[in-house]
Amino acid sequence: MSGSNVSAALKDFRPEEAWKPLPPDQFDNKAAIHLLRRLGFSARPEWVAEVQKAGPDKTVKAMLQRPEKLPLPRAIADLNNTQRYLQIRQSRSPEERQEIQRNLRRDNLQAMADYGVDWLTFARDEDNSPQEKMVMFLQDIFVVNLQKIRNAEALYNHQQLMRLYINRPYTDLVKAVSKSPAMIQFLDLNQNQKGKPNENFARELMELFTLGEGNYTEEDIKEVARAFTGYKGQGATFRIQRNQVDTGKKTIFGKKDDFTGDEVIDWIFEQPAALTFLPREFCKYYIAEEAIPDSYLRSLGYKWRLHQFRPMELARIALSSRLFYHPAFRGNLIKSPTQFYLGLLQELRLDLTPIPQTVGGALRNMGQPFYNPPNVRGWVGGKTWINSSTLAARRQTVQTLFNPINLDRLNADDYLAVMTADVNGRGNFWVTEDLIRQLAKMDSIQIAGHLTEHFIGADTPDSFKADLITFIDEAPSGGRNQRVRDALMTILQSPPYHLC
Amino acid sequence: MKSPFSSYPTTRREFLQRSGQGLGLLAFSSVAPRFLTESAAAQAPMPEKDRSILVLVQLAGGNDGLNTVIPYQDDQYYRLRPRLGIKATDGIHKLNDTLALNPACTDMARLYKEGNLSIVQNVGYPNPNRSHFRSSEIWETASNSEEFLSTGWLGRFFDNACPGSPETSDSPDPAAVHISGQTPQAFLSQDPHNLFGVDLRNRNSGNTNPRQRSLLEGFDGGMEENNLSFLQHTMMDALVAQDRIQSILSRYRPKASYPGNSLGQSLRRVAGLIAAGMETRVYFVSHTGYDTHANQPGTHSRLMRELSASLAAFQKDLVAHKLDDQVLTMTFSEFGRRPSENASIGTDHGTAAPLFVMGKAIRSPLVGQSPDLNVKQNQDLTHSTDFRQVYSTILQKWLDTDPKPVLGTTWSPLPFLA
Repeated sequence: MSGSNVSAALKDFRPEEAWKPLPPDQFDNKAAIHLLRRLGFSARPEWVAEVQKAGPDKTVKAMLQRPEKLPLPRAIADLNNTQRYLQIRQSRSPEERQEIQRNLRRDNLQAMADYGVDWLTFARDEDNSPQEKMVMFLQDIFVVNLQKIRNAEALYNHQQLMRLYINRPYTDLVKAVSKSPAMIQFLDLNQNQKGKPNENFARELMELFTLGEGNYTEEDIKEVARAFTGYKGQGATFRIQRNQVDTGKKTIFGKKDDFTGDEVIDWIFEQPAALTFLPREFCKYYIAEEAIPDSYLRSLGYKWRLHQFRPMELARIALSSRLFYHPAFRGNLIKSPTQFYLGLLQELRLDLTPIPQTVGGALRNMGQPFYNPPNVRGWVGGKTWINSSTLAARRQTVQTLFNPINLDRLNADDYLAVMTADVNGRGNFWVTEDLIRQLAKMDSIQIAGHLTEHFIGADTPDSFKADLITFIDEAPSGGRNQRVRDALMTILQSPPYHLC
Repeated sequence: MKSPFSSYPTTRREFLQRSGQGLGLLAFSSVAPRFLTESAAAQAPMPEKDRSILVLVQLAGGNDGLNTVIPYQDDQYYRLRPRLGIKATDGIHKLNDTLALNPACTDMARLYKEGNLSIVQNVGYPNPNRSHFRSSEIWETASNSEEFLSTGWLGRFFDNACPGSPETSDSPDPAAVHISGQTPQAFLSQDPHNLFGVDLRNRNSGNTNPRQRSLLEGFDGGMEENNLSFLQHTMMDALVAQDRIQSILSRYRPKASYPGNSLGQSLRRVAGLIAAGMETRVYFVSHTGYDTHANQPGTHSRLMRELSASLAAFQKDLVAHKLDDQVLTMTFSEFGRRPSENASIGTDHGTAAPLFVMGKAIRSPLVGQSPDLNVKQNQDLTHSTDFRQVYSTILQKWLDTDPKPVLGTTWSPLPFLA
């Protein structure tokens, strides 16, 4: 039965004990690696000892308390959307108008592809990985996608919000998101007017951002919608249209008041379900695919509330806890395609290939196209990442990293991007023969030990290592380097490498 | 090569027979692939084998429609293409009083005359996009120009027609097979389906090494049902499909001689898989190099020769195996090229173009309106048939599926199928 791991593990703790800090003497080398793989995309070997000394509490704080901003991608800065919206309004014929709109869409889409490369390059940097994983987590709650929002600037700003609020109250993030033009357009808040409410945003505010289904009534939704009337998001700009705002009294969760949108969000956060909502999502994303019971989540929620509901604090408490380090929760989470990809680059010490089609295509085939989750729920994750097609795409991604880029087949833009990255010292795009030769200098037992410890874990079964040793030893004469290369590739394709 | 894994069953029937003889499931491995254990437990009936099969041939890069199906009586054509226009005296294959096939399409002209090839003229969509990437996406997801869909039209066909995920499917065969580097966007779906990619360069073949194979299967995650064993099962399903497909392909003896180019070799593999009785219903192959911006004549002529000879060999092979009434083949390209030639003796990205449908089931050889060439310099063609009409016809009349849930709206069918 699935879930048996979790329920067995939970027998070891009462709810109020589960989130107590792990005793320092139990935070060993393996625990430090576990933390780094969950907090970011991989465990950088140079960091493990340091992290072990600092302990989980200080590590999480150090990585998340002062998030670095993602610089505005050049492609987005060059878009000039505002100017072009003006041109649309001033256009003299429907044809002219359509032409501008078409070009606008095309250029925004192109800018999104470039933004994808910029973001992945940023997130691949180990210093940024933990904050960017948290950004991914929050984006999976406050879902918008480029399928519906064609404005690259609005999408960039929306993602930047997630980053800026990692160490600020979650309630403030929800308020900021209610004013994010991307979200306003995504959930039809523009259509929400006094006397003619649109309930889409109000519903998702409670179902997907704060409380979860079943914790509000249809009547609450209607009244909440009234508090968000007049919110307008056009392009990348937010404003409140005064004459559409419903200033009347609303009855929400039994309280009658002339709530504004911001006041509603504060009031929602006084409902009991708000205490468990984000902890539940957090545990699913960072700890275990199977549900953790509400009694445990409530206990985590109480601790979190003492720290103004800041997402960083939630991460700090949960990832320092006894529960998180229980054996049942180690190495049993399926990596998202983005983590698989960026983790691979980090562990192989490679740079991201700055070609939108290459990285965009790889992520799409593995099931996680950049900024394009399938619907309002975002990506479900866990087992749904894996089927024979996405598994083949993951194997293909590994293979790609073992072959040189064919420069002759690049178009001018991609060629320039590759050359620029190279000049800037970010030109290690594939595993070189040199690296393989280095590795092949060791004997097969050393190689097997090195590869399994580095890529899978210290407790790799001996039978697996034995297969690896034999595979290398049985190399045809003159083909040992090739064999070592194949061995490395195969490890990165094998089932345990897809887990963290 | 002899390996412990050459004893894997290559068909489901073979497997069931063997386990009936007492060989037992677990003889194959410590962990049996999920489809084996579950189908054996359920004693599922054999799925029908004589279902219709669709083969998609992608002409990647944007095929020049006007030099493929040539309007040799139209002065406008020669006005727009003073250097690139193909003349009636260049060995064209006349189809009727106005249209002819490219001189290199000898075999296709014969198939057309025999009634096994249909030309759907001037196919495109409103507000055409001229980016390779985006326009391919529009074709493969069957979206409007302004709409972004995360699933492909065939993926949605699988979602609608093949209920259940690989875990519950009783067939070891993939729902769809592609012979191209990346999974085609056309295959992306909401529910998981067993998709398989055959590498033409056969790079995966190294995995038949038994040691590497067992590494790829990973190790047992213990007694409990956890993610490691789930990954193991899925990987083994994929490896079994790979073994089966490689074994089929290595044994296949075609009854036609295929050209050595990549398209011919891809179609040879497709024929092999179909002839082996695989239950796969959709195949996708790709022919690249159609982005002819400069010095087009030599390149395009070679592409046409490769396309024509490969399609003909494939059809001949199917006929010889008596499979031609089971298979329909269709070409598509992300766009056609601009009617006006450019200054480099080539053509730039355009809009509508003809496509081909091949098979015994073909009814009407010539479908739709020819493009109106009364266009200004560097102006593009206006499509007269929407590509989703082609899809709709195939879904309804060939794949026996209601097109509406797959395509969202209703499209009027075309008469190339009865």
